[in-house]
Formats: sequence, C-alpha cells, structure tokens
Amino acid sequence: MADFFHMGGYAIYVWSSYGVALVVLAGLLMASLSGLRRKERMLATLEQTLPRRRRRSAAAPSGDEAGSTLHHGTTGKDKRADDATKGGDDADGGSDGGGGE
Amino acid sequence: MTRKKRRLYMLLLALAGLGTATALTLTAFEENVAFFFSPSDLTVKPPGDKLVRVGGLVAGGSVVKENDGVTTRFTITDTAHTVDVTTNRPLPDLFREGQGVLVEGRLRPDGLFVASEVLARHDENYMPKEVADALKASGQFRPEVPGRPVFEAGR
Amino acid sequence: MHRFANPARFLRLAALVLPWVSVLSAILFTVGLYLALLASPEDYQQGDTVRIMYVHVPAAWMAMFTYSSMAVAAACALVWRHPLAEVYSKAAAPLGAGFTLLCLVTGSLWGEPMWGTWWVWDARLTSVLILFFLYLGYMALVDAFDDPQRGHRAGAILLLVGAINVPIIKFSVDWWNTLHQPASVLRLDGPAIHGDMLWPLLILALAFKTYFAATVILRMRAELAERKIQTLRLTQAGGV
Repeated sequence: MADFFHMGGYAIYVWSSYGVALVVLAGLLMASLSGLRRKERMLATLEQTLPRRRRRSAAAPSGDEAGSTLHHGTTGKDKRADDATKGGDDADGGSDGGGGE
Repeated sequence: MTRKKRRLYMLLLALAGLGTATALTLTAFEENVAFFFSPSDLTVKPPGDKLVRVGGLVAGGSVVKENDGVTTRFTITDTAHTVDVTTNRPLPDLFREGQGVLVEGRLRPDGLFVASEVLARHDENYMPKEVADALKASGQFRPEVPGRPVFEAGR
Repeated sequence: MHRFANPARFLRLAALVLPWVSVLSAILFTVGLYLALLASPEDYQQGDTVRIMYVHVPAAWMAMFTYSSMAVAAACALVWRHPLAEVYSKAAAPLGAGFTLLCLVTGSLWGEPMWGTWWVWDARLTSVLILFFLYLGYMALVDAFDDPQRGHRAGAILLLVGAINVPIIKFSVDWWNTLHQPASVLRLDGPAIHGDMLWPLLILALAFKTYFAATVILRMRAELAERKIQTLRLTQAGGV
C-alpha cells in the first residue's frame, strides 16, 4: 500500500496528474450541469409568465391582435435572417419548432 | 441546392489552398521547425559559435564522471557520426548509455560540445521490465532510435 | 442528415442516450483507474511515471477528436446551415479546451521527471499549445459579436482554418525531430505498447469519450434552452 502511494519516488508527478484530471473533468461536468439547471429554471419561469400574458391578451381582442402581429413580426425577422444566410429553411423550421415547445 | 454545392466547393478550395500554403511554409522552414540536429548535421553544416541542440544516442561505454563530481563527459552518436560532449549540468533520470539524449550548447573549435542543458529522449515502446529483459535475452529488443539528420549530406 | 439536425429530435435522442453513456462512463472510469493505478506493471525504463500516460494520452486524443468534430460541424454549419452544428461546436469547445489543458499539464508533469524539462518548444508541444489557443480563440470569437449568427459564422471559419493544425499535431513527431517520441498506439505497424499497459489505456480512452458524450449532451441542452430563452425574450419584449 505504501508502494502504491509512493509510486517509485514519482508520487508528486503521478498523483498531481490524476489530481489535475479530476479537477478538470469534475469541474467541467459540474459547470455544465449547473449551467443546464440554471437555463432550464429560467426557461420554466419565462414559459410560466408567457402563457399568462397570452391568456390575458386572449381576453382582450385588441391585445390578441397585437400579440399575433408580433408573432408574425418575429417570424418575418427569422425569415429575413434566413434569407440572409441563403437556404437551410427546413433546418431553421426545426429550430422554430423546438422554440415553440 | 446549387448554392449549397457552391458553398461546399468554395470551402474545399479554400481549405486546399490553406493546406498547400501551410505545407510549403513548413517545408521551407524545416530547419527552424526541427528541434535538434544530429551529429551528422554538424559535419555537413558546422554551427560556428551559435547555440544549437544536438540529439542522438549516448554511445555505449562513453560516460565518464570527472573527479570534480559535477562534470560528465559522454559521446553522442547517430550511428554515422559522433560528437563528444562535456557538461556540468544535472542529468535526467533516464540518462544512461544507449538512451536517446538531447544536448543544448555550443561546439568548441576543438570539436568538444559544451552542453548547458541535457535532456533525455525516449522512444515509443512501453513494456514491463520482464518483457524487456526477455526481448533483450532473445536479441529481439529494438534499440532506441536517434533523430534523423536535418541536412542531407552534400546538399 | 437533416433528420438528426432537428433540435426536437436531438433532444429526444439525447434523453434516450444520456443515462446509458453516463453509467458506461462511470463503469469505465472505475475499471480503467483500477487497472491504471494498481493492476498494470511499471514500465521497464520509465517506472511508475508511465501511469501518467493513462490520463495524458486519452486527454490528447480527446483534444484532437473534439477539435476535429467541431471543424466538421463548422463545415456543416457553413455549407448546409444545420442549426445543431453551431450548438454542438459551442457546447464542445470548453470541453476540448479542458482536454487540451489536461494534456499539456500532465505532459509537463511527465516531462520533468523523464525528459528533465517541464516544457520545450518542439513541434509537438508547440502545436498542441496552438490547439489550446484555438479553442480559447473560438470561444472568445463566438461571444464577441452582438449578433450571435455572425459570431457563429466567424467561429466556424476560425475552426476550419485551425483544422490544419490537427494533422500537424499528429504527424509533427514523424515529420520533424522533436523531443516528444513518435506515436505508440495509432501507428502503421501496430501498437508499441505491451498489452498489460494497452488495455488500461484503451479503457480510459473510452471512459473519456463517454464522459465527453454525456457532458456535451448536457451542454447542448443548455445551449438549446438558452436559444429558446432568447426567442421568448424577443417575443416578450415585443409584447410590452
């Protein structure tokens, strides 16, 4: 067991290497996980506030109209961006579908 | 579709151009990219009093520890030419006869290389000690390889 | 190709794959570390320092693999405009940078006792350092534009230009005299590593790869969520 920790006199080099590996890999994993959780929480709060807005606007017909024009407005903007990139419409459609979920 | 194809061809063309330019540059500067010269290179193109790195194998039976306790003398060979080296620097753990080695320093006019740094260079073979011993016993052990000469003789 | 480039389809597929690669990665790391630290022999000339190889080499392979895959994704993004290709590159970049850093640091920790130096400017070490800077440059470039689309475009071009560095890293040890030794595993005449050392290396390499797969899925999900947030914010901002 002492041999295991001693590493033939190279303990400092061998164990530092494995220590750095642990720090880098675990650090990236934790950062990725916490980043995902944060984004998902933000998305959940946004999605909670948005339907309420829609519901509210559904009650007032004028508001609904405003909402729908806006929606068209954004798709129009996406379309323009799409034209600028010249093509890839089906792929972009996919991302829109994802965004709408 | 044609737009996508055109983009693809432009991309491939750009990459081919970039690759060619890089290859030409690296070939032109090979002498600078090479990290060390071989003992043969020193005979083809003497370095004068410039600081150079020379790599090869430590010749068998050439390592001599001077009485002052810090100076070591040894010979580096690339199997075609040799260079005698003296150094008062510490030697790496891997330093031994037959081992790849790399020295940085200056070649004195009398042909002795004064090294200000000695590095060990090992090959790509990894094996347990028993396997190495067995290979050595059966004569199948592949010796370390020295680096290649950067200058071809007569160039 | 287009089918898999659909983010919704990707998210479904990712949810299916994630638990498997996570469990597989944990198992491979356990077995690999046991073999690497306890059950593998010392090297005949490098002794116990050969154990550094079991993290250094998988990190180096992943550094090159990640960059190559990002460059392929960049080509897909530029030519076919796959939205997922950009998401992938952005998600993979910090992981690739981490692998490269790990490769450089463990290489240094191995070089000092064996070669007698922490660092030299030979072709192999220098080209790997350039790879590290390419990762950092890509990450900085993508974030440097107000318009994310332009950032991704610029990043993709940088990735493709930098792709020339990958074969240079791989073949530097064959093309030029370097302090670093030539390849031990990926060589024409078969591995130059004894089986007892090759197995832990390959198992840990797979462990790194599955770790990457799991982590890049998490990061891609985060990036897709981020994009949804941006879209919703635009809609909301327009609504006010």
